[in-house]
Amino acid sequence: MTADFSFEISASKGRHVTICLGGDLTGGEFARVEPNVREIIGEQNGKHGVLWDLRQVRRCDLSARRSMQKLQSEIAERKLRTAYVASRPRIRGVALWVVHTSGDKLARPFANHDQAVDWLDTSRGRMEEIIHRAKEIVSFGERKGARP
Amino acid sequence: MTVKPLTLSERMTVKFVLAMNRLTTGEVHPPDTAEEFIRFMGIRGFFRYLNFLNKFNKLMDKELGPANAQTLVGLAALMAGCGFCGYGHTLTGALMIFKERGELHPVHPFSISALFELEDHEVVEKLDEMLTKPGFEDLRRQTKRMYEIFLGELEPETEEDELLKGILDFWRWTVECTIIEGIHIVPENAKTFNSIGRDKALRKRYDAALAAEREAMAN
Repeated sequence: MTADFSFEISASKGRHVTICLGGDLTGGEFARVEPNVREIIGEQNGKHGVLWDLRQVRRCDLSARRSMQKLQSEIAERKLRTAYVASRPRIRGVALWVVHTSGDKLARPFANHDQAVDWLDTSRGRMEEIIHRAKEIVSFGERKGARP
Repeated sequence: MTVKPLTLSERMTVKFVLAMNRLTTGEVHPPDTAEEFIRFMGIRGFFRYLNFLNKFNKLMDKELGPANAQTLVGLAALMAGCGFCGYGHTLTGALMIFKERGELHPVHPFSISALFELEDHEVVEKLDEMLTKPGFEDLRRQTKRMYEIFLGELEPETEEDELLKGILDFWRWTVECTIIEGIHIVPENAKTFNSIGRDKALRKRYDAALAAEREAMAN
């Protein structure tokens, strides 16, 4: 276990669950978090979203990444919306890898906390969001003369 | 997650895409990303994506210049956390500058690799510092504004800002697939995404000049 790893889970009635992680995230550390998250998402019964606040995470090893992917697949089965917020590019890459490889269409990584919370409050899926953005880019490209 | 196996026609398409890529860029790209694109978008969707990518590349080249366009795409990928596009496009931009001016670009796979681990505000500062080199004024401004748009700190105000936002959106879509390679790639394995990669003599001269600069900086 790493000395500076920390986690805190908060869930208020009618709101999303926030899981704050900090420090160096290893598979061993993540194993301490998993049962708590499973218990809470079990109680949620598909009603509210999950916000992974990774802004204080510095590093994440391969074992933790795989465990996160497995847990995200379980969250996807419960159709809970998920947002990851991270302030380091590497950790956002980890979050993107987790949401992509878990196949969860309701999960997305963000750099900005407010945008992450907004995501939990909308009904659009990640693919719809990407298609929506793609249409905007096509429309922008057309205005500038790059016709698809 | 169980990875969906590709059909015969999808596997043939991957082979075709990799062969075309090699012909165009002179590089052997890893099959994983091509497979993921086909798996994720389907054959028809992937070719529609490629078609628009070509048009969007032309638009960026016209508005930003080819080298700055490549570097900005690489930095958009860095922001999203993808090393595959981050390294590949910054290498392409650096080769273009080396060919055009005979000078080393401050932004390249080795100079950005450490940035992946930093906090966003530190990355913004480091990039701004790197781009104080004369001749990179436009790129410095564009990089700063693109990062601010990415962080939600700036709403696009100009046509250039709109294009920078377009790059961020387009590569958020692209790195969905390239992240499978982009999560573990090292700068040494960067691949170019442009015909400049076919110029092996240029690449050799560039690698030698960069190695000399890195050695001088280390001493």
